[in-house]
Amino acid sequence: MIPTSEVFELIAALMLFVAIWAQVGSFVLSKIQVIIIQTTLLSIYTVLLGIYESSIALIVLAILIIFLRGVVTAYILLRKFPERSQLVRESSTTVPSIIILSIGVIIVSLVVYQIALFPVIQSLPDSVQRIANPPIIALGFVIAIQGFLLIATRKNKVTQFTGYIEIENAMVLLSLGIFPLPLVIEISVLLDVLALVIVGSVLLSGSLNSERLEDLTG
Amino acid sequence: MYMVMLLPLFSALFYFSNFIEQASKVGSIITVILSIAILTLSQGTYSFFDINQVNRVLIISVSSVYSLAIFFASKYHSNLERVEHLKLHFSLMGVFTFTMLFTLLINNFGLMWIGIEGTTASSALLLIIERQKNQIEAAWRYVLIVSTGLSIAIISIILVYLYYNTLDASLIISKHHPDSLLLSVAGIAALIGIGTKVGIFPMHTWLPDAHGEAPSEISAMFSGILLPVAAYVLYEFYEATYTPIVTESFFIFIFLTLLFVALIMASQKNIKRMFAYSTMENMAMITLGLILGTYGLIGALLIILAHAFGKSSAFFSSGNILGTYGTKDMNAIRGVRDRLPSTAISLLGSSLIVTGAPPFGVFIGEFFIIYQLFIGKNYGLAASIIVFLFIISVSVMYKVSTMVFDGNDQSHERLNLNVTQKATALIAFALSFLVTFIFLGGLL
Repeated sequence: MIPTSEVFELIAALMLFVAIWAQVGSFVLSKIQVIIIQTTLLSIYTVLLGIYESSIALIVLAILIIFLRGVVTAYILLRKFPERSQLVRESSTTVPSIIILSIGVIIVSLVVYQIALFPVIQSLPDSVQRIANPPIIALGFVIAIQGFLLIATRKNKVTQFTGYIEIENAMVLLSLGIFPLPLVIEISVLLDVLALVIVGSVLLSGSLNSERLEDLTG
Repeated sequence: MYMVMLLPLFSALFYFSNFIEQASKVGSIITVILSIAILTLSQGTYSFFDINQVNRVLIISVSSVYSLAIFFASKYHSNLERVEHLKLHFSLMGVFTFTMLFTLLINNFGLMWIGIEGTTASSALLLIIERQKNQIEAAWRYVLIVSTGLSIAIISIILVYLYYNTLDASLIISKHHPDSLLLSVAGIAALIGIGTKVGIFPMHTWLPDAHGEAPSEISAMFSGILLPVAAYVLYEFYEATYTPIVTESFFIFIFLTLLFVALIMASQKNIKRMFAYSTMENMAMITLGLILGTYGLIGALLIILAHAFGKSSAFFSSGNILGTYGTKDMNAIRGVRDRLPSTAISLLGSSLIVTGAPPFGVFIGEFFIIYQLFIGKNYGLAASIIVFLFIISVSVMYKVSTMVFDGNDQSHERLNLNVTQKATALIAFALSFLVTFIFLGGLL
């Protein structure tokens, strides 16, 4: 029988692998697949945690995550693609160097976590330490950093947005790993992100690449 | 209180009618009157909402700048080709104002975050009324950078909830907390996350782009009220998480922000970007005043009010110049005194106000904040700030006075400008001037 904690850690680790896939892939369509798969994994994590802790709130949250982020967000972004969406590639991807950079950032993130954040968890009262899950917090932190990296290294707006969704997924994972927020707050955050996706999709009209414009310097 | 918050939202619903402009104007005036009436309410918690000495001042500035912006926009965009865009613009301005008022009044850290993120969603499309390439790019950067930054602030909310087991803002702030590593991490996460929205260096990169490309009334709303609202949220988080490390971090980031603005201001060519960088300076000072407390808090409140109207006037004046000269390049703008006399007055006056020239409100506010720094024996920081403020002030005033006083000769005719546009800029300037007397009269 596999211990429950290892199932949770496995799902979180899979979320990290999906984040690395987002770094490596050069087809823009794969970024939307990343959003769908990572969100599905997050939803599975949440529903299992809900069952494990007998929490209806977490199960409701899991359903909302998969619906609002995995279905609606992906659908909105997909509608922005031209008909032959398979052919849309990123113009700025240099895959080998990004793999090295991505792995380097993971190592640095884990070192930073161990040095700066792990002592914070250790400083918590025992009652809270029983709830907090350090491996999940570490993975959430690393996924968030991967999201930042995706935004910083790419010019394609869909890829940048994928980075943002990755960060939001990481924040939900962090929240579940540390101390779940009240359901009303979690749902509001999900709806807020959805509103931003809708606004972002309007801004995706025209060029799919973020550009350096003369008027926007200085 | 509920009416103040809901009226702009109600006005926004008139999008589906042909009376959105009139409804927004009437609604905004009633909102101003009701927001002043809030001063009569005693400070404290009202169900899910909270009234305190800081947010009630901000509520007045939000409603007033919203009203001025509505009147300015009605004429500034009168030549817009598609009426639907203008209707949507008015409607979104109402929603945007509602999200700001909600953020100010809500007494819950989680919902405060929702509100501040809501301001981003509701205001991004206000940048692209003319659908220009630069505006779309600036709006994209605004949405992406601010939302990503605010995501970091979620860590702060989780840790605050973990520490206090509640997100009730007034309850948490009323508790005295010991120095804690957990709260230090929460405070620094809030500084980085919400600081992105406030325009704290180095997370400010969206700010000059968005302010520079937005229509002038939206630049006025961003600078005059949105950023102070974000500064208020940052202050609330600071109150919940302050530790010596957090306070030091705030001081360092504020110092770096002022240093950066002092270094970059002299090289500015775009009038709106120049005022955007000036806003960074004002926000740094407001944040500093709020976290210092006592005299610093009085100073911050004075700057919030004087800056809201002063910067609105500066952006309205910039809009008038852009509309008539057709450029934002300050090297190409000359002879404003003779060509646009009323705009020359509002531009020069508002520039003096926002750069902290005596005897205006921003000057008195900055004086209080620096005085509080001296009381706290932060001599080095105080001396640095005085130098930075002087450099910024000289840089802005040199550029503004060159535009106003250079190139005035008899050969140029006066340029035509709509009366409402001229009047809005002048009224905003006059209101900013009035703040000094409101303070001296003991009404603040």
